[in-house]
Amino acid sequence: MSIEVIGLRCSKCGAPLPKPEKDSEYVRCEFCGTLQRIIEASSYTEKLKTEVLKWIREFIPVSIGAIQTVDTLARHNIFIAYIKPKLIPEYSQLKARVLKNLSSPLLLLESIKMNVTGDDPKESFERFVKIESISPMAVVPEDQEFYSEVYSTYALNAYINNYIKTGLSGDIGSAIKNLEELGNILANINKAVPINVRVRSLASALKAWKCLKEGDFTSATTLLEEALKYNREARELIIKDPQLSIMTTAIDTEAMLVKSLSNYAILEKTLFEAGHQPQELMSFLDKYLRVIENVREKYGKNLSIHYEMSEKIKTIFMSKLGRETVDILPGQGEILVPMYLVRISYTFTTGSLMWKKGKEYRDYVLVLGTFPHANIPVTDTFRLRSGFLDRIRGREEKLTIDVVTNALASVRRDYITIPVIPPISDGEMAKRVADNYLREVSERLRGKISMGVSSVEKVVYSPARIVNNDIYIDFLGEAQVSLGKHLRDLMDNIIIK
Amino acid sequence: MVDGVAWKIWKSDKERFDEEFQKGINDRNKGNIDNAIEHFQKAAEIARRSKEPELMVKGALATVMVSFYQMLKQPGIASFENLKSSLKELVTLNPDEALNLALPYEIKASELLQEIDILKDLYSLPQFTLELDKYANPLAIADEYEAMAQKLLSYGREGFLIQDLLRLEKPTNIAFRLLARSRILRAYAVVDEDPSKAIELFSEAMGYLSHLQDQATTDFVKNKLEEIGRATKCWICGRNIQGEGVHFFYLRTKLTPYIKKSYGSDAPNLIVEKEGGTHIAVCRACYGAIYHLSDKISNYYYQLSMKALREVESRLTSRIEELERIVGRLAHQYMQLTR
Repeated sequence: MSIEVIGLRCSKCGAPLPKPEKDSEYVRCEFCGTLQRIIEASSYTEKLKTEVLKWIREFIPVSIGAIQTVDTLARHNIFIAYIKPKLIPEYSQLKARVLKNLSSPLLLLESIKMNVTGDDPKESFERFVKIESISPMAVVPEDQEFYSEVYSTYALNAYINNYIKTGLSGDIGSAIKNLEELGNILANINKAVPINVRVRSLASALKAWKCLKEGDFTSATTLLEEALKYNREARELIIKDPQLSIMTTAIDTEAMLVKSLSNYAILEKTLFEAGHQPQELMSFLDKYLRVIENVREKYGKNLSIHYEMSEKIKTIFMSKLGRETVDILPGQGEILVPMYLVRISYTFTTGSLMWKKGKEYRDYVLVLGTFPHANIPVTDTFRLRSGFLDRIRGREEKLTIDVVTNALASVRRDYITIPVIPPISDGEMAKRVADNYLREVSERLRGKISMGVSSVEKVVYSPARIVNNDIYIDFLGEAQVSLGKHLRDLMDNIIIK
Repeated sequence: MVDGVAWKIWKSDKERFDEEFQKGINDRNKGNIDNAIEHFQKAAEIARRSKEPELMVKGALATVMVSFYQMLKQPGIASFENLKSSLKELVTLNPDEALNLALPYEIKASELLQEIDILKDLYSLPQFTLELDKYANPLAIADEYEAMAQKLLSYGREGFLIQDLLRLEKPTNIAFRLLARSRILRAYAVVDEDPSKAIELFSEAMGYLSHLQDQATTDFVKNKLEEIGRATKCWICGRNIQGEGVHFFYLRTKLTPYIKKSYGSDAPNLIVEKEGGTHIAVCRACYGAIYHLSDKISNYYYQLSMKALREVESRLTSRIEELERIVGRLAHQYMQLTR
């Protein structure tokens, strides 16, 4: 059996180590970044070899020496009678675990929390080494086919687990190396093509993220295009395979993350061309993504929120550079605050006795895009009190004051010229806030109204003055929204000046 | 009545159509679906009889509204088929015709047609049951489920346009549910031949189920994984065997503490205590041999006892016949004496 195939191994993660430089006492693992003494790595490798031999002896009732000389038929018989039955139970379980890992999004960007843990890479590499060591026994095509499936699953398990560990710890270089090596291994295995294409997409996206952080937006853009191309290809392939279709949601989420990175790459390029340093965007993103992640965690939002938010961030920066316009509500102020325009409809009864009527009205409310960082997140417009006679005779047309509708009449498309607080909640959250508000109103008016379906139309920006450590929006009058204590945090951390 | 006549004389077909259509919309908004369907039907009828070219598209739209709300009332292959054909007609006239379905967004006829096509196929799928032995050809159904799942995963929208109206799950979730079921059916088909493959397939099903909320199926698969994944040795022949209920069974027996201590740890799951007694694992081959042998033995004894019974029966029959003859004779003599 080919125990000699086991070269020097990393004592930390179990991955193969590069050939040490002549006269050097140390060697660095390319797959986990650990610098170690060669003597330590050798000692670990020797221990590993002993373990592998022990493992082989457990299920092959012939001596290793004898196996190296046996003919093809004998090897096939040994494979069928001893190796395969022993491998199958563990292989089935491992395959299920690998598929479970692959069903999670695996684009590990250190600013974005991923719900993936993975197994111990060292143990995974040790299992993989054992599988590698029995390759000489798979000599007939039928055995080779089975072996290559097992081999690719164990390789996938080892490198993905190491990728997850290094990726989560923020070691992008090692994480990329794991993906690249895995890509090379899987390249020769037909059945692994869809997974390999996904691995390539992840590697390209991660390299792009590294480039973005280093300010190399040109390479990042090319890599992101490549990542998206591989992502689409992987999706097309996996949906044809009922076993691998479990990766669909993960691949879709990864596509969203790649698209958000593409937005940031475009932005970095545009900012650079306008004379800004690339690091400016990265330092903003560092804080901004942390805020988004907190919101995402608190409200159980899907990772695809990042794409929606990246679109909005891109628009804000582009607008500040005079490249795009945004909807700006009327009024004066030192800052712009983001607000979701939510369309609402309600029906209510008015009048008494013979004048009793049912009325329907469509209106808008504005929801602060900074939710949950807001004290009063929605414009309380259900404030209209009609005269007594109008109420009795059923002449009420609506129950809302017209502040939002009036403001919308004067909305203008313009560039952003003053500091702006970027949105941190998405449209779906804004809809939820509006629906909660409408429920409260319905209770407040003791069933006089019933609410229709609300829908978010777009984000608009409203100039706001800072008065008594809070925002004040002129056109809202008594239906003010409030940031309260959150204003300072937002101004200190994520305001775009 | 005079008003009514004036009404009929002075209103154009278009006005009459709009009036009926609007009544349909109002009833729909109030939740009176049956009345709404009636008004849409009347509107469609007005358009059909009218010579105004403008009413052609509108009429087709009213027909779509009729079949749409009929479908909502009773979703099924027939109602989807009906809606599909009326949508096709509308799409031929104007693919961009917008439908007012009381949703916060506008739906184009062509978009809805594409969706209905998928939903029709979805509703045509065979029902799924966890009583797997009811399936004559599980693999064929697994194929159908997989083909549908692929369609759903390629759909390209996160949700169906009429998802809320039909209370449907997201296409991905439905696809995952179908794939979980296809894995279960394939596992069932293969378990007799290859329990390891069955475990692999059940594990895949578990993977899909982890994305869904389906406790009953999850428990079923978990149970199957435990059973089929359970391995032991046959107490009788000593062979290693995997798959409880398929490749090995438990037989009730009596064991002394000595036997339990000496052989109980020869393999995991060799001896189990259940249903108030001790059971030992026996592979299907030994189980089958014991079953057939005991069947043969019991059949032999059954035949023996039947033979003995038949002899007794024959003896009794002849005795009864003899007694009947005596009784007959005595009755005859008595009749003569009393005459």
